[in-house]
Amino acid sequence: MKGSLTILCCFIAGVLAGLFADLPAVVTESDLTLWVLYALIFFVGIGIGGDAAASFSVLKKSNIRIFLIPVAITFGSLTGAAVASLFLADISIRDALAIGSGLGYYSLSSIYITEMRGEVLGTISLLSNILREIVTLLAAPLLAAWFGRTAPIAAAGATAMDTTLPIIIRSSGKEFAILAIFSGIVLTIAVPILVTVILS
Amino acid sequence: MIEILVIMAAGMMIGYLLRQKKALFAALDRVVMAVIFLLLFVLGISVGLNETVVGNIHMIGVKAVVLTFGAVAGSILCCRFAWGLFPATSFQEKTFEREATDEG
Repeated sequence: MKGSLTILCCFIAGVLAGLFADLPAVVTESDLTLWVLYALIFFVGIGIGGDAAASFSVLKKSNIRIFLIPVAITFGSLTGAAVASLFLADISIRDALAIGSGLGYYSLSSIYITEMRGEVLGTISLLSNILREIVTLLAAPLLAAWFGRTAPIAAAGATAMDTTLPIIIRSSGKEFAILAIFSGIVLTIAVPILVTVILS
Repeated sequence: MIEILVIMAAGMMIGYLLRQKKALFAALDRVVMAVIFLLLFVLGISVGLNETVVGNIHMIGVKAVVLTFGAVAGSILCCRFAWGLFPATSFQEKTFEREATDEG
């Protein structure tokens, strides 16, 4: 929660700087976003690679059907966003699919969508995916009570492996921790692939 | 945008090779957070400079809420259906404890 608030503050600070500050040309060039994104992807990759042993031991000990969970979460997110776009006049189904495929991984997906579709859709994606994390953090106990113990994992999407993991464990029980981490890892890897495939 | 996947794969290989260096990964988490903050700040700047976004922020917020609701509801329903396909005994306490000791 603290993390996503800080992120929201950084974003708002950036917006205010863009609105009111007299920025040097090097900052206003859109290429800067892309290079910072490359750096982020690289560091995130190192983190996943360093954790590979843990990730793969989870896979080896689990039934193949465990993959059904992240697949179902992705399918549901894409379908749900596509259905929601029917109520929004100027969001195409394809753009809604791209936003839905962010799965809560706002830093990656929104910058990605900004690069490929511009700031308007990028900002919708950012807000939508930050909201997803905030909703999970705030409502995980309610979601677990109303929709079953897998619901917080589904709502968390890609964040189930890190920021929302503590609240998932508290709401769903610690026997769901491995499933949450597994689902989060699979979805974290899936997000950049899905967004690319949907928007290219 | 293939370069994104190449950069991530390169990072994963380097991370895998350096997996024994625990101190590095503790520092890495902080670096990643710092880069995310920087990224969101830079993204904010490009949003603040974009007049279309600034002029329509209330509409953008509503759209984000509607899309989030759809995506989260869809995920929860499909995940629940998929979970129903598992036998009731999946993911017992034992599995978790074995994993926890592996990690610790």
